[in-house]
Amino acid sequence: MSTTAENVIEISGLSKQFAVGRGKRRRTVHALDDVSLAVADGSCLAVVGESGSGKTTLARILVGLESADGGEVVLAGRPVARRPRRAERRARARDIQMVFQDPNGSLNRRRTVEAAIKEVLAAHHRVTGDEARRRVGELLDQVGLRPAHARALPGELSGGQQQRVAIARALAAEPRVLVLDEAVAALDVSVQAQVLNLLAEIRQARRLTYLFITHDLSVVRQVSEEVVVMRQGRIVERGSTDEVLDRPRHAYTVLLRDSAPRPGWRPRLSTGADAREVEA
Amino acid sequence: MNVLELDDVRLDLPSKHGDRTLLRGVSLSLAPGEALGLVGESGSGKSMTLRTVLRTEPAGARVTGRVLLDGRDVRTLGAADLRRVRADAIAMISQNPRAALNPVLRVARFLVEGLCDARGESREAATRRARDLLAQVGIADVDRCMASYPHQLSGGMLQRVVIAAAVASAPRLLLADEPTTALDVTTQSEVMAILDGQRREHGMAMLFVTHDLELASAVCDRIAVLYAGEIVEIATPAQLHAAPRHPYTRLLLDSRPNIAARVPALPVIPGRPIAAYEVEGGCAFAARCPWAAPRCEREEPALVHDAGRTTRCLRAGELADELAGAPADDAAGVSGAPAETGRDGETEARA
Ligand SMILES: Nc1ncnc2c1ncn2[C@@H]1O[C@H](COP(=O)(O)OP(=O)(O)OP(=O)(O)O)[C@@H](O)[C@H]1O
Ligand SMILES: Nc1ncnc2c1ncn2[C@@H]1O[C@H](COP(=O)(O)OP(=O)(O)OP(=O)(O)O)[C@@H](O)[C@H]1O
Ligand code: SF4
Ligand SMILES: [Mg+2]
Ligand SMILES: [Mg+2]
Repeated sequence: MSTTAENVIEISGLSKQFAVGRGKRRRTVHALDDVSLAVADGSCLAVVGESGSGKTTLARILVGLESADGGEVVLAGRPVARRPRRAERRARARDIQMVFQDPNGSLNRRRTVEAAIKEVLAAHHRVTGDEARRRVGELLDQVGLRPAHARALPGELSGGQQQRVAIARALAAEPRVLVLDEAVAALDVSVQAQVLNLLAEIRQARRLTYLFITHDLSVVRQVSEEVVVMRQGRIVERGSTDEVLDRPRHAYTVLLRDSAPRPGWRPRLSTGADAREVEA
Repeated sequence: MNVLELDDVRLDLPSKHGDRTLLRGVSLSLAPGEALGLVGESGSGKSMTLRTVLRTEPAGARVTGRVLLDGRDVRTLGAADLRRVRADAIAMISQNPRAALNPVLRVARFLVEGLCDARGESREAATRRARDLLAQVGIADVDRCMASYPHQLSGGMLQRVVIAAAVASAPRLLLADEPTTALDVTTQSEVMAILDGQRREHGMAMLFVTHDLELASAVCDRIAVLYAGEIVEIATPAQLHAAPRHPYTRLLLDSRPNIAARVPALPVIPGRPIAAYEVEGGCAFAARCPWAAPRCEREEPALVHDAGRTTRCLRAGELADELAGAPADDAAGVSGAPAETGRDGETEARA
């Protein structure tokens, strides 16, 4: 993949293995296997693929929550250390933020919504006091939450409400790159539409870059210019969204497209596979 | 007899700011083998409705109304009976699989112990069955999955473990809270086929919470639409798509992104979602409804059963034709934006 200054993310030959089990049952999981990917500044790249294909692992390496075993990541022009130090991870948080697949796990259960967002405002923008309170209200409104939700604890919110808090929190940091891991999956279609419209507006206004991980091909069509399809730790297809959805080339992409519920669709059994695994 | 019947279930939760109503009288029924979809706004009370059935609502909540499981009110069961019901009659797949599993137990322990406890199976038999179940839900490397701790599995793999555990006891009733949101569409198709099979073979009834209207239409016999803690419409998938009777349902159908074509901006429902406890007389949807008439602010619509349709809207009759019509993509099967028929304009003209 060509290396230009236009790319805010450049990944080459990235690999990551996990060991699971002990003794005779020990297995090595190739979560990522030689993944190369460039993401243009200000673009939205959708990542779709099999469950267990390494999408979340890729995202976690990008934001520094996981270290790679091989390959390189260049973020906003700076090479990212394979095993980043704490200070470096903090600095990276201004460049890149992630909304997690599981909002429950990313929100501190003892901290109110307001405190969670204020923490980000203070850490990244030194915004405090009345200004912070105003900004919290604005962010909550943008994601369709009420002012009263500011005082709620995560446990007092529905799944979709937690997810929206996580989005508001990531937006508060005003990063250059936002990684959204199934971030709109738990929202009803109307609230989802509102959030997708909001994300599109913000991207326009601030030239943000999105890495949009999703299982929903309708969402892919709506939000992204380009899409990569992952399977078993590898990228099996990449192209413009229209190209990939209308004229998929890889057999797995065809299978994905045909499995999406639509009028007349019926669920059916076929065979799936998890990440490629070899005996250690 | 119905497997499940909810009769006017209300849920109030005391808070610092006074009592908060989260459910405002939910009534629904499920026949053996039937699948009822539960869709609706985020925060409208879908998960809370399921929790009243298992009696896992937040501490301090006051629940009134009846929840009948095979004719017995689960709300009045003693501790021992309740435990038995939870162990073999009802299975739950929760919205967040990570919360359902003990983080320090390997999958093998979790599944095998569950089977031994619930069915008194021997360890060997339970292990064999656990392995079969994992294979059935599409886990390719069963050994690896059994040896993994929850944090070593992806979101979708974890959800399949939970699904395997749920169908293991061949329950009478499955409460499935967005069971497939974490799954890729191919795996989703497989998992739904497995649940379909359970319904056909064991007459398992399913209360299925989802945001995917296409998915709900494909697998459910009927769909209930929830808004601000109450049901506003119940209909068959065909009825719902061809002719929704409640304005909220219509707008929900129109908000779906389209797999065939991109639109400049997705249609959204104006205004902010409202909580059940914020409803003050009149129709809960009035503040956001493009078809609201002055009386909608004063009169509270009842859930009316009429000519095979169940709707909670004061104007359901007069609006029927206007709300009917499939969104563009359904009709054509291909491109075209969701129907944007200048609805606001029409409303103004009428008012
Ligand atoms: N900490 C870990 N230890 C062991 N294996 C892991 C760990 N984290 C991830 N894996 C494995 O790596 C593979 C990729 O997981 P990942 O979470 O990236 O998948 P994903 O594409 O995000 O899947 P999903 O769509 O289900 O969320 C899976 O096989 C998973 O089991
Ligand atoms: N423990 C709690 N304390 C106070 N309020 C709560 C609690 N749990 C949920 N709520 C509120 O109850 C309402 C209904 O929540 P519920 O989880 O049933 O929503 P839902 O319809 O499942 O939404 P979603 O689609 O986002 O999951 C929400 O407005 C939520 O904020
Ligand atoms: S009762 Fe009135 S406000 Fe409520 S949905 Fe019907 S038309 Fe709209
Ligand atoms: Mg993932
Ligand atoms: Mg819920």
